[in-house]
Amino acid sequence: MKRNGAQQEMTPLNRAAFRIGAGALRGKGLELLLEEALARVTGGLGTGVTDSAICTEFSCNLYVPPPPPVG
Amino acid sequence: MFRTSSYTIFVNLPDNDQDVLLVHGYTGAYDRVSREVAGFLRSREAKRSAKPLYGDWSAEPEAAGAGAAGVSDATIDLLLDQGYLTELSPEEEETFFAQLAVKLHQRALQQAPGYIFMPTYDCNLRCSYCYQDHMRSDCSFKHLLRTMGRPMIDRIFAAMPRIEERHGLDPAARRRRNIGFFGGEPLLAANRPAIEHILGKAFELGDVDLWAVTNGTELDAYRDLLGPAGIARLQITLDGPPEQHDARRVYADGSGSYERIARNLSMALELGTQVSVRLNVDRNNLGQLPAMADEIVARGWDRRPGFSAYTSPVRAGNGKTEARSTLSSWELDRALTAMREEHANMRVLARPDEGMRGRARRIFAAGEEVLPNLRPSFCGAHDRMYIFDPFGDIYACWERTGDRDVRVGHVTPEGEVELQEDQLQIWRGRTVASNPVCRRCRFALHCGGGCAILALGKNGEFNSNYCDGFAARFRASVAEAYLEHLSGAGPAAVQERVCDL
Repeated sequence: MKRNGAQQEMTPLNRAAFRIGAGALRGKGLELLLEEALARVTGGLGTGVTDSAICTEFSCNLYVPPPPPVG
Repeated sequence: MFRTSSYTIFVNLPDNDQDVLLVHGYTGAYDRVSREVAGFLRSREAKRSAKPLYGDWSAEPEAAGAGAAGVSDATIDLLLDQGYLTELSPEEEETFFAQLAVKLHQRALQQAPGYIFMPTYDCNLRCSYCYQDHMRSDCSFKHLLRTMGRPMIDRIFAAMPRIEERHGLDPAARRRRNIGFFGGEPLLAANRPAIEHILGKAFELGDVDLWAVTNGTELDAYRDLLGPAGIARLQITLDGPPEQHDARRVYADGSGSYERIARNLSMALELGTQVSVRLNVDRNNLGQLPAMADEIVARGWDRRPGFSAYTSPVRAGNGKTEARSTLSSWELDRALTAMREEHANMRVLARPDEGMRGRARRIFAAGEEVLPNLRPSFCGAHDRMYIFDPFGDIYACWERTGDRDVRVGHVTPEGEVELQEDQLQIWRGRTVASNPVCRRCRFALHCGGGCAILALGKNGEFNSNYCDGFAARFRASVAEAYLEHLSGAGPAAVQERVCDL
């Protein structure tokens, strides 16, 4: 099934922030794993979330187009 | 026995039949793999994702080379490390995904709130397509057309500490606050006393980021309040080159507004204000975009450091819109990309998915250690946005302002905040985990579930998905960003959009 020594099968471009294994899930429990994952995806404790809502930028108007030209 | 994670995204590269990019939907992993490895993962998918009850997921691209043979032990270990292979059952993984989204959202709810003042619902323009048009044309809404008074402003500022406590923050702690203006037209000359009073109260609080969404027609009345130390950022809408704009954005007497806006826009840039020009695009003005790009270049706006311009598709929303005249984000992005081939000046107009491409380019440029940018919900309406209208009513989304039935709270005469917990729960509870389509979608934490208002309009259900071709847009953006990265182009500074409306 497996081939050893293959070259360039896979090139990491950005590492996963965490890994969840079934053993860890069943051993540690979901809540603990979630906390660990959360700490890793947010860069550690107390740093808040990534720019999820991007709220520093402008929100929006709801625009709809004008009626079609007459004639 | 391992299976392929339900949240593995396959990205084909144009003109490359050897490699495929992989992106993981919740671990933040990005990888380039051979076709054989992609095929191996395809062969280990538990099942094809269920078709959404609503929406329009596009099919995942097929990967050649299916079969387990020929994938090395080292690669399998890497696939496990990155999350593309998992030991979890589909049900266990979905549960983990949903709970992670909820945790992320709970943390987002603890972020510092953003405040938006609507000093009035009134406006000096009469764009027939405005979603608030009824407020100015139907006399039964006349009561809305008042300006926020100083006592109300004082009450709102008195209420802010209560809101910040609710976010788990110490109101006395020094922090940079974010205050914006929206309307109606917030920067009418007649509103200046209210705006000045708000600015004065804001500066008393400490550091503050001030911005406004304005039509720009009476900006000259605010000359001394603009710039880095005052209202530092503006969004101004231009609907095309002068002739086109003046046919769409008109005063009550039918006259056009372009020249006045253009003069004020130049003034704001000279004062060091950041100006983001928004172009609302449908099939009627799509063909005018090259002329608009030429206009921007001719006026020299693009050479000002604070200038940017972006395009946004017009949405069918208020009953006056023919859906066939509108474009999806994907269609608009592709149309603009094609136009860039023919018109060099089109580079000054950002495409709808520029932000997505920019984020991917930053990841590729940084190399291997970038935290994932996961979006458990779509926009600030679902976590920290508070919009105050002239009556002290508080809304989560400005698309729904003026309808007291959907306000999330109000400010009492004593400056206390009374929140409507039922409405608040509706708005602040919408995440990618709150509907079955998003929680099974491999793109969900990159997309945020789409705009709630557009989902409601399309599906009749607030807690539903609004895909807007996200799968195709995401894959195309990642592929384009990767090819740009390979070509040596550095990451671009890109202004993000918050909202699809």
